[in-house]
Amino acid sequence: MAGAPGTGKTAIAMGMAQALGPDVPFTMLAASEIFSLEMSKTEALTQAFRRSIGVRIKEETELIEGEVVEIQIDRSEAGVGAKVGKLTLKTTDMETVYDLGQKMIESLNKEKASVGDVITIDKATGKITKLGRHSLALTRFVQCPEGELQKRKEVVHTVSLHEIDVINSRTQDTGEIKSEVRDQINQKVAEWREEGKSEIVPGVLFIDEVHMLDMECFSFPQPRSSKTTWSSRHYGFQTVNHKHSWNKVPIPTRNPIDLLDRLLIIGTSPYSEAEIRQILSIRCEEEDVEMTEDALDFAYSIHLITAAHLVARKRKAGEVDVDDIRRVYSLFLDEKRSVQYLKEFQSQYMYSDASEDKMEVV
Amino acid sequence: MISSGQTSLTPTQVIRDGRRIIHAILSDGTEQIEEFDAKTEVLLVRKLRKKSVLGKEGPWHYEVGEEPAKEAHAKKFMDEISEAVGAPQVSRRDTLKAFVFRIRNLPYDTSVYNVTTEGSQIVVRTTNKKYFTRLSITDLDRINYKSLQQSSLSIEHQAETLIITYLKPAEILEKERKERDERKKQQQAEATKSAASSSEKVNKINDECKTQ
Repeated sequence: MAGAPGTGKTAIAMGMAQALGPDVPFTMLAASEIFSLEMSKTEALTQAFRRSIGVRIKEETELIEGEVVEIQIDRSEAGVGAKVGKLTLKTTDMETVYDLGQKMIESLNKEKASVGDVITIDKATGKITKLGRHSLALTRFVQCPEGELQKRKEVVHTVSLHEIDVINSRTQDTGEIKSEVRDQINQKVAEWREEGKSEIVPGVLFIDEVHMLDMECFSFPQPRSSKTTWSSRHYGFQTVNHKHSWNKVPIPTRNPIDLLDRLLIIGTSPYSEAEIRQILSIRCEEEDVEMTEDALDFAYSIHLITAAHLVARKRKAGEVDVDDIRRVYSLFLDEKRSVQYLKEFQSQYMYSDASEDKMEVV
Repeated sequence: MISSGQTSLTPTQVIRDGRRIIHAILSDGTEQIEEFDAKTEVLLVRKLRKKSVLGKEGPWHYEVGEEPAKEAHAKKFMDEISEAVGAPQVSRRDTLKAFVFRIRNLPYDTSVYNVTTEGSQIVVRTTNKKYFTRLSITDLDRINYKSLQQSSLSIEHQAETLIITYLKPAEILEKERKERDERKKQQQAEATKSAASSSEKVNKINDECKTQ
């Protein structure tokens, strides 16, 4: 993707990630993240690639399934410190009290689980799923489960190759992973695929600011991508984001030409006034802000919407008007105006006694 | 190297603190540690650990005996959800003649419990619907012994603990007797071997000294 700054290249990437859903791995990184003293460039790239390839596999997990009898959450008097929670669940045959951790309390609140709900809790991940209610209420009626509360169940989930790498490497940190480990895992995954135990889910790797990448980085993915079957499928998905000025340089300088020849280049162009108006009105809707037509003309920056809304609320108006925007405009400085401000009042700042030319150099 | 039976051919054996500890890798890759009382040969602990499909090392699962309190506490601290301290807990502690399950923290009256055999499992029910569990006797599952006898089963309730005793069938008694003999034989063999190797070492050192 190529286009001037602020023309929506990163926005397209974000949109893609949303549209693909939670099951497709989507990795986004800025090219500058690859240059680190702790990790070689190839390692960082390999990890990024392997994060973007998912493996869908069946695993046995322990589930707790039952009807909520009681939820009890105690907060310490001062309101600080860890909350302590107890959850009582039952089946038609038994009843057990569980101690809850902080995260579990939060996800119980998030799921809005209440007495009478039939829920399942994945013991390993802590995920809570509401199955329905065991009562004559309006919502889905579910029988109270039978037998034991804890069950073993096969669950299908997607993990990335990188996650499998980390699990199997001796050092349980995110440092470099030995190539033998990767080879073993590739072999294993290929075996699973042949036996029909798992599926490969090709994902998307999105590299922002590719002009930061150097020649070595570009020579690296090519042999990689043609070698293994899943990578090549995945490479078709790969998107490279150019932050290069579209009109200035027709061919981005540091990308090898033979690679460019094989790419599909998507250009993005600056928004027209009407488009910006539309974006602003969508944004206003999202933030629940009513704005007059005139005000939309002035709300040149998306960041002013919420602030202007607050100002409008202060004078008890339902709609944001031009005056509100003006007020916010006077309260905050944008880049151009702050530079101008600095220049005007330079002499009043600290170290202003340093000579003028030195300041310019800085 | 993998034998046709349950264990691979070379379980290792050590005696430490009056316990005979046997470490084995089962044919499906499961790691198993058994601890026997060195004198009475009663099985005190049997714990198993299996790697997950993705290669993650699982926690020890105690089939016989109990997890040391310190480890159990540490685990509870890490877990986001765990059974409360007062919840009923099953543990198995065998004798030479019987499989014995103990379920602690069951304060209800003796008449509440209804323990029956169902196929290869023992099912514990309570008439007040407070507790229910299915107990598998893994030793019997391993020799494919499918039908438990109600007549071998007896229960006892004391000090908030329900004790379920199931007499070992003849097949198991015979098997365990053989295993005991084998363990002793192996221990003797190892003892003589290590003695021999140490004397060998001495000879070797002497030889080396001579050549110098």
